[in-house]
Amino acid sequence: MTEDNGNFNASRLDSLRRYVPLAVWVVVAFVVLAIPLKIISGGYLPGDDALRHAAKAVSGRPWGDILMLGPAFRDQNFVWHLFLRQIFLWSHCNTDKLAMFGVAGLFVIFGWSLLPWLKRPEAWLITLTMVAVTSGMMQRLMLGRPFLLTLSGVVTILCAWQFGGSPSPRWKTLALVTTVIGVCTLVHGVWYLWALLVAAFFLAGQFRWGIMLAIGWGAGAFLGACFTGHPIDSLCYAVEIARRTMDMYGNVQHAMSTELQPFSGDVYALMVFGGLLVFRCLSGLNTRSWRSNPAFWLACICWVLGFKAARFWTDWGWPALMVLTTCDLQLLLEARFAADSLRRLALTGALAVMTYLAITNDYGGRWTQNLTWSYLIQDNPDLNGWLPDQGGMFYTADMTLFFQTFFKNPQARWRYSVGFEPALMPDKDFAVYRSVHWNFGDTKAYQPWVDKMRPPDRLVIRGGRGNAPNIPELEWKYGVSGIWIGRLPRTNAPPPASAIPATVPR
Amino acid sequence: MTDGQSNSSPLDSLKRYVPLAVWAIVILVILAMPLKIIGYGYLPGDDALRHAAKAVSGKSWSEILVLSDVYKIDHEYGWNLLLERIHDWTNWNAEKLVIFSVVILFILVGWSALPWLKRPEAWLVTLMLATLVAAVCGRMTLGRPYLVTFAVLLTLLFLWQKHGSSPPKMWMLLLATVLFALGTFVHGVWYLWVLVLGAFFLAGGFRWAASLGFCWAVGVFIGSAFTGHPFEYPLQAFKLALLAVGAHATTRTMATELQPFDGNVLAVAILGGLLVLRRLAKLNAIPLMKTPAFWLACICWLLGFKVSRFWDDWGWPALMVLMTWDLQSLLQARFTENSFKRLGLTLGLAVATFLCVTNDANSRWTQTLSDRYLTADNPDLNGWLPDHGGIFYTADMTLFYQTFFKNPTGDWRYMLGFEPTWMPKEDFEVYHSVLWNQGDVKTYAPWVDKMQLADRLVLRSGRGSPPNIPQLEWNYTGLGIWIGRLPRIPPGGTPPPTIPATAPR
Repeated sequence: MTEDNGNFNASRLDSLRRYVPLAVWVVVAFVVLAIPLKIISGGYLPGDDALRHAAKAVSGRPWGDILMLGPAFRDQNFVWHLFLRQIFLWSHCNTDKLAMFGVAGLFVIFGWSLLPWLKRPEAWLITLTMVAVTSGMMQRLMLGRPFLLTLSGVVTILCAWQFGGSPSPRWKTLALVTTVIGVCTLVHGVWYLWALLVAAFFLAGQFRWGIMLAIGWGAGAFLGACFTGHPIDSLCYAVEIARRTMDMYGNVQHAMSTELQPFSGDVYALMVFGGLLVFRCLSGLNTRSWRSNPAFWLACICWVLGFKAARFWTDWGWPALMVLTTCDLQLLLEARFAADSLRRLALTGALAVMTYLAITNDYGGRWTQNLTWSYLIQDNPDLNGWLPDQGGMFYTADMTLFFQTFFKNPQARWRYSVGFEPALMPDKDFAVYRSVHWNFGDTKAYQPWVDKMRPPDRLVIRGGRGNAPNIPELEWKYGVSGIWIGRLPRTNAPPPASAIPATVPR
Repeated sequence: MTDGQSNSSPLDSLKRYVPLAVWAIVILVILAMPLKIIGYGYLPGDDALRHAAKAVSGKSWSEILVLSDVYKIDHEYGWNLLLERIHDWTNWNAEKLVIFSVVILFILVGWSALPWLKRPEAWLVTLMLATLVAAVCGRMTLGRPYLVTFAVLLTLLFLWQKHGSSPPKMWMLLLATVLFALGTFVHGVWYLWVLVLGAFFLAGGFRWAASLGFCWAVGVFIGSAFTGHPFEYPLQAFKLALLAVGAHATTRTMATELQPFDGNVLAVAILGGLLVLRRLAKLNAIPLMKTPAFWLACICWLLGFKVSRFWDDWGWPALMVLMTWDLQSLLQARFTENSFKRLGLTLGLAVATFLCVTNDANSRWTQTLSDRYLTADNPDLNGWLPDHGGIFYTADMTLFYQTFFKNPTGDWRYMLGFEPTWMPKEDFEVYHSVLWNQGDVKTYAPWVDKMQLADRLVLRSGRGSPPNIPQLEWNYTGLGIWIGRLPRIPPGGTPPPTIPATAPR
């Protein structure tokens, strides 16, 4: 099938051919590394959890000192915070650099996780480009959050099956699976979702692998949990918080974080599926049937579950689809190009450029929109007296205000009413948060918080410059662009004289 | 290619129940979908509300709306009559009538395809794909009588798919006549069936086209006769349609569904996908060029660039018929009828379709839950809704739908109802001017000038400041709605008559 085997025997370049595979590897590994570096060099910062992870590492305080929390809370990303904390203590870098480190490091781990299994790593570049142009997954891969480690784990296990070559797993595969799931449980916490992968193996009829994976899952999750110091509690808590998160919102799905809302079916991903199917039929390649492929089943399960919560699809379905696509593309490349062909090198060079440009271009301002964010910072003299005082509460119903303000003020001595997951709030405060979202931000819904505000507390609401929020009990300042800060009115008048009761006439 | 190899399995005796189980699953999942959706508290945002409210009110449209002379007969006579009868019989309120409409019409459409299929699971795939690429199931939950037309169209197209290879038989012609009559009686747009006849001619089915043409003429006459106006009813329907699309200077001021569509590229991709599927799977399918559904889809796709409803209400059903028929052929080729794999596939499809249709992405089923309505029994609105015989002026149709829905027995009329072009001409000009000027309050001046004490002007606007129409006094009702009325004479009686100063003698 190859078209250029032995056609250039006389060429002086032939002696260089043996370096082609190595060069391809270097190009692919390098471009995967260069992509996040290019993106963060433009000043990109993700908008959510990466900020609070970095700020948490710098602050060195427990979540209970940072957030207003309900009765039961356990840090599910305990090890990730510990890791970032050690980097901070060692390097004394600021939160910006820690967040950038998270973004670049985790993207590279994911981007490289497939490479050890591939004979034609350039196939992975095509997959990355396809993902970049058909979905918003690249923004998700740049979020710098520990779930990316789980994505890498999923890809690794699927590849171990796909390229391991053995229908019956060996002991070293079990050790690999246990280690991967253990690390993911330790760092990310959502151990229970690995059940999806086990189910996919069983549906694909890979029963030995399914049993091995189930054992590895049980052992890995337990080992990972042991390292947190609370093996049983941490496993139970992870399930409990997931249940609470999905149950507490009732019908107000728009109050949920976007990634927990249902997706709309991702039609372009279906088209990728359809395209692969057509490709298999037309190319005549000796591909493995989808029905016996766990990656196919995992993608199917997660696509359906995406109608409950989009994360099933983005964090489990897409990686599976990426593995499927890469495998088919690798077969095609193997059939069309010899391993040491110079054409292969040229193709890889072109693919590298294409992938790099497809991902790093700033279409729609996706990598630079954070540059215009305005932060509430303690050092800003305009905000003197307008940020919460020591021990005060930063009331807001907007999670981005928590992420950004905590990120820029990791050492500040106030707490936030809402943090990274509203379901962690005390029930009464969650009811206020839910009411605000139910009423699309109507200021009347903030009333319970306004009623319990004390002088050190602040209420922070996003809104246009035109009018202050209609809460007359507070005095307002237009803090920075699009953000209003309210506090209880200050008074310079002397305290009122003590009321002396009228005397009874004698 | 089929998979019926496991003959010796002890489960074999259960295999004969597989077709029955598949039917049961498909029927149940179609039933469960609207029930789940209304379980969220979903209410559609437009015509279903006014149909239900009209049934409760017991009034004619001319007692509810300020109408021009063209509108004399209820143009959806049969549907409103049905809801009125249900209300009389059950005493349901408007909300229950809307829920009934949503559920019953969704099921009617969902089930209308099933009698013609050997593999009903193919219909689940179609419903899922149609929802993914064009939110067709969203339109199926609007609870409006056009869904009867939708169901009739599916029935006729499937009838041809199944029996089109032979000339139409008497029972088919009778069925078609009844369906045309039903469609005309309930929905009124009898003239659009000419599209279907055209599609049959283009597909080369001349005998079918001629027979259906005859059934159409008879059916329209019978359907109209049931309204008591066999000639005026179809004539008025035609005039109203011309008014609805002809009175606007730009499409921007039309109702959204009367505006052009953007080509629905993904639907075109589905058609392409069907072609690829036919080729790769080597399906023994009727050539597209000889299929009326294909021609109807093509015609309506083109006409969608004039008015999107052509595509939504006529093109999509045709495309769904094509998809279902090809998918059925594929499933027949891949799975034996009583295979457990078929049952497993159907279960998987049922779960996927159910979740695909009922999930609340972008709050599509729950966004109305936080709507606030103007209701007569709200003490905060005391004196702020129109008085007896007054007129509710607004240029926002959602305000008509929601207010009429919550106040079906309110004794006032609405200037704007469900179709602006059916207002008196001078009022339509005001409405058009409001929309043309993006809601500028100055354009309401002609209405303000003719307002009486009993009338109200209702606008959507932010809480910050009242609309800049100083002739009226304003009340903010919450969630962006302002009500204006002519200033009241202060209590204490009428002012004394003005006596002119006398000239010095």
